[in-house]
Amino acid sequence: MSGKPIVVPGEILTSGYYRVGENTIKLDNSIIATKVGIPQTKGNTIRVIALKSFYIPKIHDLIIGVVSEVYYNMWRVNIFSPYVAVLPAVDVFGRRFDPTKDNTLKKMDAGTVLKARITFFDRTQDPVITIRGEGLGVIEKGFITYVNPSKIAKLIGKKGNMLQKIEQLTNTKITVGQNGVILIETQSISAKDKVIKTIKLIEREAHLSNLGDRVTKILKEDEENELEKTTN
Amino acid sequence: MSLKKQLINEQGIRTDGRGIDDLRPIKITLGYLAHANGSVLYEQGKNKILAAVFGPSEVHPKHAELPDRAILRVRYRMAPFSTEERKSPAPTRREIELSMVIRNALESVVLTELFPRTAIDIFIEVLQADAGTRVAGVTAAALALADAGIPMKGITAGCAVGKVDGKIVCDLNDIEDKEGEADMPIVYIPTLGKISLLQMDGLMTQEEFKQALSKAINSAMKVYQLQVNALKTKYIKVER
Repeated sequence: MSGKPIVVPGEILTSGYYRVGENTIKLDNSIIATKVGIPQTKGNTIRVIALKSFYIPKIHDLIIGVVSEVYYNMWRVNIFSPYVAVLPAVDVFGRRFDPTKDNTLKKMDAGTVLKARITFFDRTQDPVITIRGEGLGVIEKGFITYVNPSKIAKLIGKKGNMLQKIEQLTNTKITVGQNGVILIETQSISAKDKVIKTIKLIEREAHLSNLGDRVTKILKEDEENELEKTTN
Repeated sequence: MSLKKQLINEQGIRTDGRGIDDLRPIKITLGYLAHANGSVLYEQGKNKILAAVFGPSEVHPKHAELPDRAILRVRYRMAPFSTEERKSPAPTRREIELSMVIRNALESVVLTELFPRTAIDIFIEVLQADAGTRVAGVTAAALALADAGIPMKGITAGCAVGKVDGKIVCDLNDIEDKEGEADMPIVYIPTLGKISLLQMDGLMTQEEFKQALSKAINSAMKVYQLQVNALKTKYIKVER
C-alpha cells in the first residue's frame, strides 16, 4: 500500500524562505519537523501533519469531556488533554448563582459526560468551557469512543463527507469532539460496533491512500455479512 | 599471579565474534505497550529495555509544576531479574543518578516550553542488562517520546565506546565493560550535531579520547538510522 513520505523529529524539511507551520520549528536557517508525520506545503507555509498527537485546547473548539471533580463554585472536567478544563458554576446556574443556596454536586456529579465549547485558554491558566449554546450540555445517552486527535480531520473528511458517509451507511448520528472523543447516537449495538470498527480503521490508516474506498468497503462488507446471516 | 583475560584475539575478533567497530544486533519494536502514549521494546544484543511515555499531563504534586515549561520525570530501573545475580528491587543510588543523567540528556531535545505546567513521564525498565543500558535507555526513551507524539528538536541516539586490550572498541558487552580499561557512554543528537551525554570511566590518552569520540559518533549515527527506519516503517507497515 503506497503512502506519503514520513518525516521524523529533527529531519530538515527545507532551508528556503518558508513560514513555520504546525509541528515545525526554525533552527539556524532550516525548518525542521518536531513530530513524526507527513510534511505539507501550502503557499509559503510548511507544516507537518502529525501521525500521533494530543489535544491542546483552542478557543471555540467543540469538545466532549467527563466531570472529574466537583467544587462548590465549579467543576473540573477531563477533556483528554494535558490541561484539565474548568466549568464555572455561573455558566450552569446563571448569574444569580449563590454558593450558599445552589449545590453543584446535586446538579452534576463526577462522571457526567458533557458536550461543551472552549471559551478561554492561554496555557498560563486552565481552559474554561461552557455548556451554554446550541447542542451543548449533558450527554444523556449514546456511546463514547476515542480517536487520536491528529486523525480528526481525516475522520470528518473534506466538507464533512467522510462523517456523512459513515452516518448514512450505519444510520447513526456522530458528534466528533476536537479533543478526539466521539459520541455515537444509535439504538443498535451492531451499528455502534460498525462505526467504532470504521473509526479504528481511519485511525490506523488515515495517512495511506484511498482511505474513502476502504471505509466504504468495510461498511458495505458488514452490511453484506448481516444480510447473509439473516438469509441463512 | 592473576592472568588477564584476552578479550580481543589477533584477528581483531571480540569475545562475542564482533569486530572492534561492530555494534550488537539491534531490534526495535515500537508501540509495544497498549496503555502507554508511546512505548518501545529496545533490544541491543542481550540488553532488553522497555521504555514507556505518558503525558504531557497535569502535574501532581502541584508545587512541582513550572510556569514556563513542562517537567520531565524519568524513572530508570533495573528489574530484579535483569542481572546475573538477583538485584534488590529497591531503587539504588546508581538508578537514581542515571534517571537524572537520562533526564538531562533528553531535556535538550524535548520542546518542553510548548506545554507549561505539565509533566511528561518516562519509564525505562531494564528487563535484561548486558552493559550500555544507560545509552540504550536514552535511545529507547527518544523512540518512545517520538511514538507518543511529543515534539522534539531531534532524536537522541546513544552508544558506548571503550578501551579493551589497548584498542578502542564500540558498543561494549558485559565482560568488556567489566574487564576493559575504559568505558565512555555517549548520547548524540545527529540532526543538531551535538552531544547531550558524555561520561567516562577509566583512563585514556588524549589521542585515544579523540578516536573514541569519533567512533562513538559514528556508532550513534548507525543507531540513529535504525531509529528513523523503525519510526517510519511503523506507519508504512500497517498491521491488519
